[in-house]
Amino acid sequence: MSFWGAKVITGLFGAIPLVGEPLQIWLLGGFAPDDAALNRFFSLHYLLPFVIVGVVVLHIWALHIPGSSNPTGVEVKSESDTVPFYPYFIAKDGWTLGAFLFLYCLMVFFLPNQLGHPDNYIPANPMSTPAHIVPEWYFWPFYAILRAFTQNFFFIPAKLMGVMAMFGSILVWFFLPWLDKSPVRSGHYRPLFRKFFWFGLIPCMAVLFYCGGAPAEEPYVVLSQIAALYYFAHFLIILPIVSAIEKPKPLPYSITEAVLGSDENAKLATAG
Amino acid sequence: MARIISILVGLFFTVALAWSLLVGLFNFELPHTVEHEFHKAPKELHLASDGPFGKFDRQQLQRGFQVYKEVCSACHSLSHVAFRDLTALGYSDAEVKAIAAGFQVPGVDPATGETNTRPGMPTDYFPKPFANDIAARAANNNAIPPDLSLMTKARHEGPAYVYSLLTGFQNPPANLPEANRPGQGLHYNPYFANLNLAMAPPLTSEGQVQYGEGNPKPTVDQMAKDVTAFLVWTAEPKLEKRKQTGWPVLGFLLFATVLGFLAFRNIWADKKKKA
Repeated sequence: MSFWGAKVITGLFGAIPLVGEPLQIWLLGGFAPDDAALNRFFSLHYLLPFVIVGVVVLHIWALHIPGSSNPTGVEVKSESDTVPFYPYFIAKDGWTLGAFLFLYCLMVFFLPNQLGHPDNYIPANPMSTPAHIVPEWYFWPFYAILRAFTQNFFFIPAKLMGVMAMFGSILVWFFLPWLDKSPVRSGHYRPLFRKFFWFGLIPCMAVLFYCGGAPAEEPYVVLSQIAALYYFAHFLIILPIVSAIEKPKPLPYSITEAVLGSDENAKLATAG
Repeated sequence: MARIISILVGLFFTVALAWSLLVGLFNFELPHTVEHEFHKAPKELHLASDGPFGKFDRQQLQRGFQVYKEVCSACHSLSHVAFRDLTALGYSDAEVKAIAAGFQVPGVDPATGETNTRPGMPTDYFPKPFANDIAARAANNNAIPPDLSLMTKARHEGPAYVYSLLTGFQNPPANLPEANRPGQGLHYNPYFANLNLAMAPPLTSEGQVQYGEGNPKPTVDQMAKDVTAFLVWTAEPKLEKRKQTGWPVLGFLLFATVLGFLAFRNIWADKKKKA
């Protein structure tokens, strides 16, 4: 299955107009995933941890210079709004890490093959294509989007549409600050946004997740088309309109007030 | 401006999807193939190694090995298993040596350098029944008998599938379309993905394999169960160790997490108090 996964993923480059096919052969070092491609995959995956180290540096910079945000979306107003990292967040992260490791070890020791695919125990054979090619489970929603485009759109081939949509479905997150211009940062105080999030985006992601792991046949194709349609409508059409017409609920004065219900400083501010 | 661009991009993707959806709905048809109609999900199978406390039944593994040796090994390789691994089934070193010596493995004549065969040693792996894939195809109606080492992990519901396949051979139902009837050298089995497979029923009659004293009667059902249990072992010889290790690990993590949670509650107590 990994062989076929590699074939599908590298096949995405073949969708690029004009240069696609030669580009794919150049990147693979052959016509199908082979020794050359495997070597390149190894070097790429050896490189990735160093990329992650770079992102960790960015994370530390972001934490210390712009500072961290919070679930209420309200800026820190006074010392009473914050707590020191030690012991408060060490204690909080400590037990959640324990809870995560518990579930993780439950999978490792008692359900080791649950998230895998039986075909991964079959030796790679380029001459025998599996009936259903599915990627790892965390790619399922995006794989469903890739497969949702079944018709050419004017002069754009369906394959290219699917590839653009699959990468677009992730790229769109990076444009959220421009798509969602609401002055209120937390969904907690935005009733209309919350409705679309919980009754629109979340069910649609669940459907995409399920359909991505299912075989490419009806009714899964039609279902993933409906869900993918909502996915793009949500981020690119609904969010910009919602943020323009929505009337947000009143914001709390400070984080302290949001958490504890009242804030001494807030009373002073209104009295003064 | 950004809003207009985003809505235009959004319309581009949604209209393209709507077009695919429209065509999809217009031609909507649930897949209805003969395989969908006649293929059966595997039968239920319970083995001693199932469940979080599961342990191998050594006696059953030995019977299963005997079935593999006397029946399956004629066509199927077991290339990831070495003879010395069989000590895990409860065989003594001397017994393993005797078992290994009963197999002919590929070797080299020390005098001439020509390839030949020699009796196996405990360090050897199970030999392949065919010299190469072409020989395997030629002898088996153009189908290569797959290696069985990982078979119970390489199929959905592996153990139940292997057991169902071994006991599922039957005459094709009367309403099976002509095109799906088993052709020359094929055999009908509703547990196989496309209903007809090249393997002839391997376990056909009671007593085909003679079990020693103190073992259950070697019915077809029993032999299929035993060899399935053996193949669960070959696919994961460390299964017992994995489950046994899991319990103390989970126990420790549960203890540490509860302790961490209580510490968290304690530390945050004064911060969560209403003013």
